[in-house]
Formats: sequence, structure tokens, C-alpha cells
Amino acid sequence: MGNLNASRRNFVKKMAALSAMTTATALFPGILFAETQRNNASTTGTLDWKKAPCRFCGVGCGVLIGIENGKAVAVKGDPNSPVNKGLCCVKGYHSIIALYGKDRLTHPLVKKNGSYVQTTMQEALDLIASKMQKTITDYGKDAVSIYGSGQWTIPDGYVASKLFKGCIGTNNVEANARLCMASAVTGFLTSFGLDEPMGCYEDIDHADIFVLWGNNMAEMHPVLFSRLLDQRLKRGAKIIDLTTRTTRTSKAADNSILFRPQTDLALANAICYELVKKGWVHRSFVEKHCSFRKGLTDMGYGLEDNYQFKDRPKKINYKDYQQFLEGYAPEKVTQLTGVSEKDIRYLATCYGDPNKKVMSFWCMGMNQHTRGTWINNLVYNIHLLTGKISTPGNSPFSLTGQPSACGTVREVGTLTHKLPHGVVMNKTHREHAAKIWGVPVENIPSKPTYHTVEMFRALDRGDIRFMWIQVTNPMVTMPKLKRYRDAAKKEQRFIVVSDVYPTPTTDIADVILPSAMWIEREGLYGNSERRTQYFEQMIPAPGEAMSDTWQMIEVAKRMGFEKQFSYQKETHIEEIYKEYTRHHEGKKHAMPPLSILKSQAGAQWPFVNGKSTQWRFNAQYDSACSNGEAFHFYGKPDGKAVIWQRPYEPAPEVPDKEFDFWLCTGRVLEHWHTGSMTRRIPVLHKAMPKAYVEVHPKDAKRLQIQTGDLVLLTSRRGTIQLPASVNERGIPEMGQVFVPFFDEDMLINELTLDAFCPISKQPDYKKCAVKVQKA
Amino acid sequence: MPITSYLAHPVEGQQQKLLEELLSISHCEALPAVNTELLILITDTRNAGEEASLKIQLESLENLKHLAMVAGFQTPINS
Repeated sequence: MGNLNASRRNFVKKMAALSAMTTATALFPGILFAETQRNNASTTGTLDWKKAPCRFCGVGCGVLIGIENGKAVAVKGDPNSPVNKGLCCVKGYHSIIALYGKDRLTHPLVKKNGSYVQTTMQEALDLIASKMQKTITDYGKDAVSIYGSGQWTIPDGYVASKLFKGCIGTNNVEANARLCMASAVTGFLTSFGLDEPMGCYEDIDHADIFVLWGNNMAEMHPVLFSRLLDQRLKRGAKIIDLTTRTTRTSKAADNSILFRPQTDLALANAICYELVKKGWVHRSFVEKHCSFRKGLTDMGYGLEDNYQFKDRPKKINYKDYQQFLEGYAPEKVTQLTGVSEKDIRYLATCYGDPNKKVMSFWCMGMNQHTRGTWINNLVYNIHLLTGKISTPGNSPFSLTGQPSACGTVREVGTLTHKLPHGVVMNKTHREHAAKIWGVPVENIPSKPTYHTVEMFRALDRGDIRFMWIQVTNPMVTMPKLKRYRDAAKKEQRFIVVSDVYPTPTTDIADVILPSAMWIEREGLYGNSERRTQYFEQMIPAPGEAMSDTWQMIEVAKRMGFEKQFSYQKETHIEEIYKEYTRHHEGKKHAMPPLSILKSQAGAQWPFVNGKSTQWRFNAQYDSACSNGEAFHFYGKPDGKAVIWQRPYEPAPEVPDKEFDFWLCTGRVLEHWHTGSMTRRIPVLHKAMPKAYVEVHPKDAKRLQIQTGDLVLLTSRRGTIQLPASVNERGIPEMGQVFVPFFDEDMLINELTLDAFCPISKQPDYKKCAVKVQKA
Repeated sequence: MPITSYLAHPVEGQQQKLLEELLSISHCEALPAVNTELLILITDTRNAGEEASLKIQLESLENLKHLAMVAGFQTPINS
């Protein structure tokens, strides 16, 4: 037996070596290894390798899962995936362990007299359907809601939208992606009229300079960061880190420039000022392809219930814009931003040099921002002024944090105002959706209801009485958490939670449904570069666990919508995807057929004439361009992208005498989001077992705090206690602290503020004021 | 558990030294490319503790510029 084990282990080692050689060959064409080594690396074995997109972040790495005896036993990067070219990060390669945690939810649980009682799936689904129907009868259709996720597969989100918007007739559909990329969406829509990046990851192979705007890529998107480092090694590309806190990314970058929280708005305008002043504006590009607008200012921060805001854009001209920028000369903003005049001019030079191709990357730093839409607009301004957009290597690129934030939430449209194609406010769009869904157009209300923060406020007020939460953990992630946890626990509220493990959110559920996870069911994800990827069911789900798609279909049928949900169990994913693609027909958003997605590591929409579109709005690559020019921003009626005049405005809550530190929250390399999966992976949990608060060494000295000491953090919303981290992984600036949010035992969102961007309605988790004391 | 493989990028001109360093660490096997400054690293540890300790050792190598993970295998020692 011992020999057999040793032989198997040797064999696995050979497979590991072969995987690495294959990846090296993809990354370094022509690379050679000694013949004896190649011969040693065996290619045969008993594992059945199947392809899937990774379960975790929005990069969408292709992975190959090794299946043996009905169990997932190995993971490797897929060398055929153009996303990761065979690489894999620490979370990706441990991903399969998350399938096998000891406390997987395997049977439905119903709360009775304060305790959970196991029941059958059929009974649980009956109960959910009857509760929904009774809530609609008693309180109206807008009293029921669904709150999903960027981890929903495309079919999950599609059936949720069809059931709630098309059949029940409420726009109470939201997803946690509102908390992570809504500002990116409104940034795209206001600047270009269409959502999602115009470029793709292949831009990395062409760019000379990478500017990271508040984006700790080394920890949050490590595979893409490896691709950046690879380009630095091969071609001498430069990495510039713009940040409020020194991170692993800062340490790896060629240049790390620190700015004060919220002042990225002023910094971006200052770069534009320099571009104009130095004559680096690409005049002919701007004249042909851009228009200028300004919107309302001083919009507030959405802190009050039922807050409403509607922007009123006004046309301006280049001279007006130039005059506006006068207020952002480097010498005027250096004090506000904390960035030296020299560094501002250096950044402008990087963007302005006509011989350099530039990519800008961002994620939560710009999106979780009370002026998130504005800062997205401002970075587009830089690329539009210089004409560095929609060409290989010139690419403003908004990254995402979840595997299908783009594919499901943005493209299927699981937000209150969205439909799979277009918005609920548009009659033509409603008619288009109703026709495909087989429902009367009158079913789809023409007004959006609640965005995420307001949806939980409505639950608190009693305007919403029933909420179904799938694949997300809002009782860890909602800002100003106490209000929304208390809301969920109120009488006359009914909460259903579908998940794979117990979480603080299942704790507030009346019914808990066990979900099939990732490769335990069939599905599709859409990543940050418009790439849709398919995965088959590879292993059985445990116990009675069922896919979120099928849970909703079962409930829909019980509510009388058999006709609209007459999918067959064996073929429902294929049927749903085929139906979904009808919403997006046409050259601007055509989706790839399932047969293509089954045969390769995804494809990018618009998928036209059998080809993915890598660079939108560029006539050389995008067949939807029709103006006869080199570029066509066809999302806007005049075919022009918008350069927005957006000023700097302060954050709603800034440090003062009593609460004298900025608090920033975020993620860490080892854990994904709230840690409900990665904390069940022993090696990741051991590497990062608990949350902590990073304190600047000088602040720590003044407060007599050392690493490991317990620290009390207090905001106007609450207090928590955490161990200190001084001079370790990340180092905040003086007067700032950082806390990761993965740890359900140290809920940092008890302290955060539920202020949001008035345009995108995305909360700001990066800035509020706290007091720091040694416990 | 686990067996993992990586691409190991040496500091410029230090491929041989990095190879020697890696070969001197328990649980590591390394294969150099013959025409590119790159090594394949395969690690084989028995438990999470060994893996964590190996990670610290690798991070301290002066001639290692960058380590990119490729594959991981869940292979029980005693099954």
C-alpha cells in the first residue's frame, strides 16, 4: 500500500510539473526544458480533467478540475484560457476544498419556535411559494423582493428577473454587485451610453504603462497582476500605484503615489489640467469623437430614507471645460491631495506621451465612493482627451470582484432599473422583454423600486415583508449593519436564504435552502472582459442541495407560472441560455452560442460572425461601428463619448476632534469576500485566521499600540475590538486605519456609514471617521 | 496534501543560484528552463503547517523575484 501511495504521489508530481511546463510554454513561446525532464512528466492518468471558470473573483481565470471517483481532487490553471494562460492564484487552486467543508448545508431548515428544523426540499419550496403569495395578497407585490449576487450564474439571475419582474410584476430585484460595481456601470453609461469595458485583458500584452487607481491588484487580482509583472520582465512596462495605503501592490510597483482619501477626484482633474496645458490633448480625436457635459453638483450622500436624485446634464464646450480645469492646477491641489506637483506632472506625462500606451485599472477604490460615478467619468476623461482608448494597450479598465458581476448582474440586469436588454423605464425595452418572457407587457412596472441600501431600509420600515437572499451574505456586508440586521429580525418579516454554508445571513432566515455550489451544477459566468464561460456539472451536490436556478423554477411553478417556466430538468440551462441570448440579438451585444462556450475557454460579446470582439467602438475590431470613422461610440445618440466636468467634493463624514481617523475596509489575498468559503479551506484559514486593524507605526507609537494588542475602534454607529497590525502586510498613512471585512467574528460593517453615490447608489466602504483606542 | 507547481522567476542572472537554493529546501523540486531564466518549482508537503512554513522559506529567498502558481493537487498521504 505504501508503495502504491508513493507511486501515486510521484505520478501527481509529474502532472504538476507538466502543468507548469505547459503554462511556461504558453507564456514564453520557444522556452525549452531538458529532454529528460520533459520525458519524466507523464501525460497519462486516471483523472478526468474538465474546464470551468474559477469560482472566486471577477478575473474569470480558466481552471481545469481533476475529477476522480465523483470527487474533485485537483485544480490547475487552464493553459488554453486567454485570461490566465495557465496561471492560478492561491484561492483558485484551493477552490475545490471549499466544496467539502464539514458544515455544508445539505437539507432545508425551517425556523419553528426559534429553532431550525430539518424538512424536505419539497415542503420548503411549498412554504416559500405560499409565503410569497400571502405576502402579495396582504401587502401588495412590491412587498416581496429578491436579493442576489454577482456569484449568481447567468441562468440564476435570468430566472430571478423573469419571475419577479415579468411574472410577479415587481422591480424588487437587486444584487450585491450594487455594493461593488454600480459606480462602474453608471460611469460607463454616462460616458459611453453602454456598460462594460471597451478593451480586454489582451491590452496588458500591449500597454507600456499600467496606472492602478486605488487598486491593490497584487492581493485582489493576483493572476492579472502576475501578467503585469510578466510584461515588466519581458518589455520593461511600468506599474504606477495610486493609493491611500501602502500595500503589496505598492511594494511591487515602480512608483507608488499616495493621495488623501476622496481626493482622487482632484488628482484626476489635475492630470487633465496638465494634459490641456502641455498641449497633449489629441485634438482631432476629441473634436470627432467627444462631447462635453456638466451635471448637478452638491448632490448629497443618500443618508436619509427615500433619498432621490436625478442628474440634469448640460452641454458645455471645450473652453468651458478648460476654464473649469483652471481650479485644478497642480499647485492648487497638491495640499488637498497630498500628492506633490512633481508627481502630478509625472502622471500627466505618462498619460500624455503619445508614444506610450496606457492602461488604467480600478476596482473598489473608485467604485465604493460617494462620488463613484464621477471618478469613473474623470478617468475616462483622461483617456478620451489623449485618445488612448479602444485600441490594443490603451484601455481604461474597471475590474470586478465576483465571477459573474458582469455576466449576471450587469448583462442579465438583476438590478431594480434593469432588464436583460435595456431598462424598465423604456417602453420598447419592456415590450421586448415581455415578448420573450411570454408575459403581458403591463406586468413589468415602468418605475424602478429600491436599490440595495433602500431595499434593506424598506425591510426595516415594513414596506418589504418578504426577502429571498441567494448566494450572498448581507449580514456581513451591509454598511451600518446593525440597522439592517435588526430590520431582518423584526416581526412580520419572512426571510429565505439559499446558501452553501451557515453564515450570519442564514442566522436571520426563516427558511434556509441548501444550494448546489459551482461545479455541482451546470452554469455560466461572465467576467470583467465581457467573456462568457460555461461549466458543466462535474460532481453531485450533497444531500438535497439544489441549484439556485432550479429552486426558483420550482417556486415559480408553484405560484402558477408553469407556462413561463416549463423548462426540462435535463436541459434547462441550455433552454434558459438560448432564451436569454434572444434579449441581446444584434451587433452591439450578440452573445456566443452555447456550443462555442462548451468547446473553448469562453468567448467575448459582441460575438458576431463567429468571432469575439476584443475592442469595442473601434471600427477595425467592432462590426457595430457604422459612422464610417475609425471610432464610433454608438452607445450615445450622437456617436460621441462624453467628457464630464465633475468637481472635487468632500466625503460625507471626515475625521474630526472626536473621531479622528479615516477607516478604510477591504479584502485580503487569502479570503474571498466574507470568507464563508475560503475560511473553510484550512490552509487559507490558517494563513489568515482573523481580521485585524492596520495602524501606522507613528500612530501606534503615540497610542502605545503594538502588533497583536487589542484595539477599540469606534464610529458614530458602533464599536468593535480587533488585534492591531503595525508595519506588517499593509501600512496605512498616519491618521488612517484599514480593516478587512472577511471575518464574521469581527464585523467591521457595524462601524461603516451607509452613504452612497447619488447616481450609482453604491455605498462607500472606504471612508468614514473612527476613534482608535488601545483596549 | 498538497502538491503544487509554480513558475519561479529568478533575479536577473541568478537562475543557477536560485536552483541551488530551491534544491536545498525540503519538500521542493526544481527544474530549470534551458534557454529562459525561469524554473519550474514543485512542492510536496504533508500538511498545512508544512506548507505554511515552506511559504515563509520561499518568500525569504533573495534570488527569487516572483513566484506564480500553476497547479495544486489534493493528494492524501495515507489513502
